[in-house]
Amino acid sequence: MEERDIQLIEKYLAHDLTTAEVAEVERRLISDMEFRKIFDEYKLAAEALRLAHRDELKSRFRERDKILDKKTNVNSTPNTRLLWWLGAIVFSLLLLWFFITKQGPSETVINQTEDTLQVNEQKVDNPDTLRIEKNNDQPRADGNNRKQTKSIRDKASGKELYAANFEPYPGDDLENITRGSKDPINAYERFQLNYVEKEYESSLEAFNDMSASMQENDNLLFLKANALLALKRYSEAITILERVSKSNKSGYQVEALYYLALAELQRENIDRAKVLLDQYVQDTRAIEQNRAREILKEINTD
Amino acid sequence: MRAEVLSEPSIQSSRLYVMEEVKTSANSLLQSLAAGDMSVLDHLYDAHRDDFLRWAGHRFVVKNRDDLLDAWHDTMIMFYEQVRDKKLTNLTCEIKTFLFLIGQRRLLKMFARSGKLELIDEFDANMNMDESINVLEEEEAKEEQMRVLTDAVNQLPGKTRDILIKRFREGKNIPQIMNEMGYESENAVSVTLSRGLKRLKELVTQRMSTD
Repeated sequence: MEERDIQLIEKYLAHDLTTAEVAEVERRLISDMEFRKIFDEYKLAAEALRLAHRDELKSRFRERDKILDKKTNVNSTPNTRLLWWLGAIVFSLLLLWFFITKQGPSETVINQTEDTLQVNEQKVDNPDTLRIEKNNDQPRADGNNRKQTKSIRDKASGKELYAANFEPYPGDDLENITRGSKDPINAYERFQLNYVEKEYESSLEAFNDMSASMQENDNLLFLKANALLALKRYSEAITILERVSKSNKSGYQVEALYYLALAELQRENIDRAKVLLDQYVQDTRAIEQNRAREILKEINTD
Repeated sequence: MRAEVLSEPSIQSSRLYVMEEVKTSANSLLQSLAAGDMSVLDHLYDAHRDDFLRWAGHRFVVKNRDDLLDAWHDTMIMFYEQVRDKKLTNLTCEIKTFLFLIGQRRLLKMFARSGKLELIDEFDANMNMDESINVLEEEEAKEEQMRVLTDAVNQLPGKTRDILIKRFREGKNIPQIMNEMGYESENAVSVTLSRGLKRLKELVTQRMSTD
């Protein structure tokens, strides 16, 4: 094998040849078996370099995972979670103690009302209720702004709890499809795009344009149910959510319980909602566990 | 990563403008990555990892988060190799969409091997994606072969390994290598490269024949 041939092979593997030289190499690979044999050996060597790099990349990504996990605190230890719960319980007890000490047999109705207002203000200032601060900035899908959670004194109705807590499933885990593509987007993509953009009527139209098999997909049905809730079509949403919550095939099976509970609250089926929320909070995969617990606390208040 | 929406009178035209900006942005990132800017890879990794984990966690029945992380690592590696080897130079969709599709196929393969339930075949059927994705369907080297090849590379002396990496992995030409590694002439680089590649070839051939 000539030195020039080795150099050709080396440059070919480094993508450093002219078009004519590439054509020459590829022609010889077909016609010259000896050349082919040497080429394959060198190619394997270049492949080895590529594979060794994968180990380095994996290590690099593991380091990034440590940084990212630290930022998001995703791997909080059971002890950390326990501390949070203990803190929440202690705070609740302090709040209860405050009520009890403030109350006396000689207090008038007017004073009780003032106390209620103070409790409301304290609740607003509570740094733990971040979701209340967050929700104040975001208009709800059905046009109502999120209301503050009612005081313990005034037990919220099912409709009020629904209004305070419902937001359609955000869908930030859906595929990133943007409008305006030169390629026509299909019904499935239109469904996702409209859903993410909160155009729920259009998303339902797109859903109906999908194939029959796609319309039976429990993951898509979960999103459809959320769109229906946003459009106040509660009965239809409940029928779907009942199905998805029992479906082992759906990645949203657990979350369907939560939204079904909210829908039952809206219909003032408090007992049913309570059963669903109890079931939901038991599941470690539940995303809205904290919120569900808050709702249960509201429901269970006498 | 996403371009900002402009306030144009026509929603359709503003979306088209956004799409063009997105494509330009994605392709310029590809160019930077291909030129060796690893911070682009880090940025893409950080920007999309958690979304991917959430998205994949909904679609696949997974008890172990590490399975999803492995899939994400493999996704980023496959994406990077395509860009590095100049097989992927242009995208007609957002990088995130592209990465998620690679990840989806990766997870399908992983779960098909393990026999776990797949949730998304129906999603796949209606996807209408850029054909360049098909270049990703390459066969994986057997694990044993990978170990042999990696060991051979690790046996090389440091400077030899570095010069080979610059040439065959980073795509640098002879003058660039000469400047970066302090060689006195291009001829010296060429000779070192030839000897190094030959040595690696011998190590690999030796190991492959004994295993």
